[in-house]
Amino acid sequence: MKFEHVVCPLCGCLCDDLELIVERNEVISTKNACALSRSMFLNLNADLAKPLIEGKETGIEACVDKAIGIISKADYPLVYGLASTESNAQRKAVELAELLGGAIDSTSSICHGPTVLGVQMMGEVTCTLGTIMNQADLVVFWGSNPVDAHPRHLTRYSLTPRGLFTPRGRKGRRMIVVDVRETKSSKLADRFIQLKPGTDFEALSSLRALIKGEKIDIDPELKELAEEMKSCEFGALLFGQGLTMSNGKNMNVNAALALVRDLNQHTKFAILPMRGHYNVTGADMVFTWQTGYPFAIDFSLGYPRYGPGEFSVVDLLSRKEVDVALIIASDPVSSLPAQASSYLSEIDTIVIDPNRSMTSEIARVVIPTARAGISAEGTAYRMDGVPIRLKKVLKSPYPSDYEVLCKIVNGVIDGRSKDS
Amino acid sequence: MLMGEGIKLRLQKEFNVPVDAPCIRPDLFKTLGNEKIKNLDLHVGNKVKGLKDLFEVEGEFSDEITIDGDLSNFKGIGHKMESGKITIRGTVGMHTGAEMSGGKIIIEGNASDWLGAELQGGMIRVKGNAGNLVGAGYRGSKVGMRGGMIIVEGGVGNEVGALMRRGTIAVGNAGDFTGCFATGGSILVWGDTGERTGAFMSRGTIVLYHEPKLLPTFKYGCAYNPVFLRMLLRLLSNWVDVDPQYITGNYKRYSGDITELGKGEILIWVG
Amino acid sequence: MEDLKIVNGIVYDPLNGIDGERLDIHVSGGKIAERAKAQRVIDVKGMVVMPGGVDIHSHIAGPKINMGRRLRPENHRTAPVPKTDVTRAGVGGGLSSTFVTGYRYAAMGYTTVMEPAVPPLMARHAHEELNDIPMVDKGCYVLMGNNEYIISHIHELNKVENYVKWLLNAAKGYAIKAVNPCGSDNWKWGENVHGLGEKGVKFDATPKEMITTLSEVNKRLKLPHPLHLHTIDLGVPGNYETTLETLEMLKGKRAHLTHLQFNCYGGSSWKDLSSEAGGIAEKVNDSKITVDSGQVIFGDVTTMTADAPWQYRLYRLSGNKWVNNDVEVECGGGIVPYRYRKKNSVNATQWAIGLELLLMIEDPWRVYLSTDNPNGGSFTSYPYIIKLLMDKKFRKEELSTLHQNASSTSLPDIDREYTLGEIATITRGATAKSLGLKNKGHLGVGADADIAIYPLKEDIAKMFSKASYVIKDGDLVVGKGKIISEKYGKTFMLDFKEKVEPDPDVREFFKYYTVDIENYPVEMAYLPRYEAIKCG
Repeated sequence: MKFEHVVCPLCGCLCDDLELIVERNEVISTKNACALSRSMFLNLNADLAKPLIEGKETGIEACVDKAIGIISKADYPLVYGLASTESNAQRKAVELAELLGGAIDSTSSICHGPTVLGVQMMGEVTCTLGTIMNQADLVVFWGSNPVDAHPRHLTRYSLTPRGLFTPRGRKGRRMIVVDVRETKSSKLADRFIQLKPGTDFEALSSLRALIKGEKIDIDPELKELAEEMKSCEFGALLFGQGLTMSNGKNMNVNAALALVRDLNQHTKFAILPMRGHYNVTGADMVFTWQTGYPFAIDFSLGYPRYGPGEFSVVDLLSRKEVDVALIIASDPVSSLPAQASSYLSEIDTIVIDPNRSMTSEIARVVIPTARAGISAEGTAYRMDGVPIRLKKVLKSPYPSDYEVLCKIVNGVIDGRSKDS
Repeated sequence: MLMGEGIKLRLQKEFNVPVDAPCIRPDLFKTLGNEKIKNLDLHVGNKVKGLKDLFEVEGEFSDEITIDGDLSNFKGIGHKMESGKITIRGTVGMHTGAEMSGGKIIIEGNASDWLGAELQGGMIRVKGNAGNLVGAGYRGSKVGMRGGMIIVEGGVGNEVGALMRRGTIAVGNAGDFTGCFATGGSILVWGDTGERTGAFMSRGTIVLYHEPKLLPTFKYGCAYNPVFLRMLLRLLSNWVDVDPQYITGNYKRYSGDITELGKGEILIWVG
Repeated sequence: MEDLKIVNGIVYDPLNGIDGERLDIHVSGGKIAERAKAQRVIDVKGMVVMPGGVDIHSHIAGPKINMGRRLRPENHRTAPVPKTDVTRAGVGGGLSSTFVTGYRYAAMGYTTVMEPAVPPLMARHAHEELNDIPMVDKGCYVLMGNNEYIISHIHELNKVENYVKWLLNAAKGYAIKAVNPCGSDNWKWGENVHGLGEKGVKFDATPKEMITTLSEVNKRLKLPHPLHLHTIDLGVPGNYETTLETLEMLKGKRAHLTHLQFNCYGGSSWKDLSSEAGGIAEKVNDSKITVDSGQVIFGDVTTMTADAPWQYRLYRLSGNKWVNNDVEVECGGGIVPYRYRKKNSVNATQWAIGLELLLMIEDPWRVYLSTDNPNGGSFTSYPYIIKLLMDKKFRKEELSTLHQNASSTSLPDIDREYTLGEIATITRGATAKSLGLKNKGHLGVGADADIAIYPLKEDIAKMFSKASYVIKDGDLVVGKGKIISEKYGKTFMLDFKEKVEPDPDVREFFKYYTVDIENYPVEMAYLPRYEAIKCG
């Protein structure tokens, strides 16, 4: 069976032009997919999770009941993950955290959390990816390596496509890469500026001073970059974790946001974060419309409070403040610093995930689910905020993340009404 | 109203779940009898408990509170307090003295992040170290500290005095981005400072006693002995040992951040 | 759902010509009925009974308001809203979270709210948020005034007509919205338009052509609501001339000019900005145009519009943080926090103009109450505005606390005081009529049983801020200004009677999008409860 216009639930590009051939509930070939995407689609049945309690296989109902029992007794539970699931599951997860008086956080806090803090400080002059395609004659990738991390970004959105006012495609566009090391992306660039590690902030501040017309003594390459940025017709600065997770973090983002904002006194310029997980943007969106805040939220007082550095996953775990962790569609054991992730094996950790992971290995309860975008429909938000409907292409024996979360929410409510 | 001997709180057991404790404030306690104090609500994780479930409580009707124990997980002590005094004989958690407008908090151990955040007035003194964002503005705010004084004898983390508009902060050592986004006020660092001091500042003064690495967006002006600083140092010598040479010595003046208004100053003591 | 009988209330139902009569209202099956076999009787003796409020213009859902929420944690921090046994938690500053938005509207007796600015590419997002707004029925308007397909086919009316129809259906929108037509598109190149006849930077179309084309298409498609227009030069001193020109251009046509207060400025700079509301009101009186006021409320707000060049201007004026988002092919938008100050001459004049419009436009069926939430202020300020309209003395007292320039307007000389019947008109009867929602805004038999019951109080603002009872689709959901039961309303969409297919050149045009045309239209899954209103 052939599926067309399939949306790829892998990275923040959320390409929606894939074709899949499915036979006997397996993807046997893909068209238009990048290497990462193809590898994902062709290996969907590897490492599937099974319903487990204390490492022993059991029925999914038993796992859900166990999870309800554990989480209902918690003094301060954490709900975490949610970047690789659809928005209905994210909505339900917020409801659960609120119901439990716990904390909720998404993987934003370990990738583009600093971006959010930057935006809250400075604002954000941005655009959708199609605006870059249609208008940009200059694209600057800063601390980001799209060739490896977002393989089709350059060909679908930012470098080679011909848009409404960019009929020459690649030929009409300058590509600049600013990074601390050579990458596959820097090799494609018309100009590569290599920074000393940990000096992004100084470079961005210097550029801002130059754009303002101040005279400062810096690398001539940066002076040329400032001129290029000022004189383009429509520029875009696309930044990745090389900026958000290096020395200076949210301050680096502040400087980049301010630079782009200031450039708009001379030309049109936009800035976009190159967000990783396919629906981490959706987690920000859903959390924000339901609570006002995009990540690192606490409900222990019955209302939402915002606390990056306080209610964010690394901090709650490192300080050992939570007593139960519910991990949804994420693998913190492999992605968090050891001092944080090791605590997950000390407390009751529940995992809701279609796949086995390092986190499911240490969890007390594992609830397997139908993978969003593969075996469950729903909404995902592209890195630029464009919402796209995910497709269901394979059948799964398990319920979706959303369905499991509904059961848990209902179970917690039922348990309470029995108690009272 | 008759003031008692002071109110003593002694923590009974230690645990990790965070406690939200903004009810611990002297201007409230001075109006309450012992029973009422004991029955004040604290949020312990997702549960509500009485103060007496966690603390042994002595005294009543006093605006002086002394607390014993490791309060690392206690947040918001002295939040918004307007008068009175809290002495913490140990270490304390986040948001201590945040938004307070008067009175005094003495912390004999360490303090955590957001100490005296958006402080309006009053004084906070820490004998040990403090965390990040001391005296800073909360996320998204335009203005942080608007008045009062924070003295930390040990070191503080990053972004001390972020968004500061008025008041004084004096610390032993400081991390990165000291005084970022400041629009006024004074920050003094007796020891070492990290990188990027004064980033985005438009006004205000940062005084350093060890040579820092400055951003390229600060420009050297002159060396001099600023009058206001002499007065400020004399004032500070009421609470900290100020080397007399700091008062008489010269300072190199750098102005910035030129990416912003550029009317902020970093003064570096040269002896 | 049980049947209800609401007895002894004083009923204001302007659409049915009822102006303060003591009548009983019967509710059966979620509708107003001739006679219900009600088990439950609610005695509302001495209280005022009105149809549920209908807000024609309030930014409550979608990418723009959500970017605003994300931008302003400092605004939420001081306005937490705890959960209760029946309601969800959230925040309730000027940018309330979705749940709180629904609760607050309901507490004031509003039961229908329209989100007025959705980029079609982001329509799914708007619908997701609408689905998380409880208590009210809702719908959204689709941004079209800077759509580059329309701009580039501006002289091909048939093509534009078919495209607009397809787009409304694809976005599951309810009306055509135009914001600074052609100006926001120019902003994609850092420019704006000045004057109705100015051509775009990249396209030949003028604002005048865009407005007349969309208004003509609106007429041809027989849409229930007229073209909803945020016209050009908004917020600019001296813009009243453009506004008069726009009104002249639309004379005899159906159109709705939104938050008109921002387009009534005389003078040549911020220093000498003055009110021209009188001339504008006269022109409106003389036309078929409907308008809403766009009242400003003193205090902190977050401005957000698809008028991106205006938001840039406001950023440069205020120095506050600024969000801009250019949406491919369709539109753009901006967000800037702002504070309206009583002692600021411009802000005080703006405040006066909003009231002048409501008081000087004679026909209450053509001027509606709005704050352009959250731009001029929060929708929660409606009771305060109602009091200003109904109480001349209060108006004068407020005026005396403002910068003197507010008194140079004609406001001090206006003696008109709104009656309760007129308030019911500008907040529900007339807005429902303008929207073409035949089952809303009145209490006639067959109407949706959305009923607001207010305590008759000396202080009008208190009376309208907490309804004694609110009934939504026949269910009692509010008691004494508090939510007693949570309920989710429906979304209004359009019924074109036939399947709508895009022209082949629309498919061709999609090469300028980064989303496949097959993945573009909003699926019905996003409208779990809906009512499709027939066009024609």
